[in-house]
Amino acid sequence: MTEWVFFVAAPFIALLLQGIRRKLNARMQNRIGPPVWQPFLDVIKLVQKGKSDSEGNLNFFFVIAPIIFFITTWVMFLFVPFAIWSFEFDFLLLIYLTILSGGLYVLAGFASDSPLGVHGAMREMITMVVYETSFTLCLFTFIVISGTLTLANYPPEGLLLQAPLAAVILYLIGSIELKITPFDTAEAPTEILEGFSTEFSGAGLAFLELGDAMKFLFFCVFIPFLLFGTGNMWLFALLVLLFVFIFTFSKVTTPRFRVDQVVQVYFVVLILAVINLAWVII
Amino acid sequence: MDYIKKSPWICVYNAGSCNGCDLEVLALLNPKYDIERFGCELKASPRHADILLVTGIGSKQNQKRLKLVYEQMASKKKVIAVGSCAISGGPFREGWVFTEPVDRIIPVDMYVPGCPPRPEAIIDALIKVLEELDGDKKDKPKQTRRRSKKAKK
Ligand code: SF4
Repeated sequence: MTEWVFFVAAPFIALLLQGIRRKLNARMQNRIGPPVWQPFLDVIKLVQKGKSDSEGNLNFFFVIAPIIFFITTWVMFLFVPFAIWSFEFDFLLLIYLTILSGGLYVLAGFASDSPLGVHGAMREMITMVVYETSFTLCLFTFIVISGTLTLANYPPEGLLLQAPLAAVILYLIGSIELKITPFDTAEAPTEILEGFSTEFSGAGLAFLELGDAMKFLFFCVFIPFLLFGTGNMWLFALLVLLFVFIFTFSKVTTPRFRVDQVVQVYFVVLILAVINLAWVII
Repeated sequence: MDYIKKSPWICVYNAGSCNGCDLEVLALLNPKYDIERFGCELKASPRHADILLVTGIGSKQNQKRLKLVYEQMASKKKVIAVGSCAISGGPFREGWVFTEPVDRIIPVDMYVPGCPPRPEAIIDALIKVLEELDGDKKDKPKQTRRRSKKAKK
């Protein structure tokens, strides 16, 4: 029962977390900040307001990409943190889904047919090759240690002690996937106007924002799930909030990497992931 | 109920200003003025924005682009002309780049005078523009009632 409640409520929890994040962000900068329910108002407003007349509206992918992106991100909550839908090899499906949701975001960027959107999508494509590989390698370490490919059998006490290096990699990859500074080169609001979403408006933009919020929730849930397990529910919830805090702190306090630096940094992450996997196997 | 009032997103367009007004607009985001507490966000793309802040004289080179930016915004848009440049040309009125004020290029809903205007003035203009959005008749009697109550106290 709890599982289904969590699954259905996931978009709302995600938006609430986004609100908490914005409030935290403001408090760290010594501002008052928006109310916690602000993201709900934003989404309602976007749906109510309707689209601007962009030429992209005639493009099928432009209309459909944000919706599939949202649904894909939602489906990931079928597996984590509670295995509602469980079968053999669902760990692999989850890895595939995370990559797919990144890919759909890129598709949205390309479909918008604006130089800024395409630019953001290209930056993301180039870096995706590196960081998705590291992400997959990092998850393989957990598969090797736990010896299971089914998320329902995942040890509930977590595997932090067996793979301490993986914690660092997971954190780095989490901030890369969520486009949190210093890794938000693909979005870069001050350089390429948030890249992907530049051309979107109305409901399309609302779905993109929702999907983004849910991806944020997913990583805040997934990292504690892998490292600390879901044995103690209260501890787990506390850890989720801790990760929200850490990501926000990183966002407030760090500047952004340049495009040419960022690939080098990702390669360092990739090498770390390889070392980690080799260490676990040997 | 119109939710634009609760989360107005802002886009700034620099139509050939001296950057003085733009700095004052940026000051809206700092801890002292902090317009995010009204749910405002500074958006880079005009397609996301509800309110367009125009600074500067709308020089020859800028006219076409200013129109384009205005057309790209979704419906229910409001425009605020910030600074005396945007209203009348200000100190650049005699210059050769000045052709016509911003309100001849795109419709303007609110003017904020000053060279540069203070951030408080811009916030005031923002709130007045948002009040306009709700349709004029419903809110007016309420406001007068509130004011009269305060006056009695
Ligand atoms: S109004 Fe004054 S401060 Fe603003 S752009 Fe014009 S000259 Fe600069």
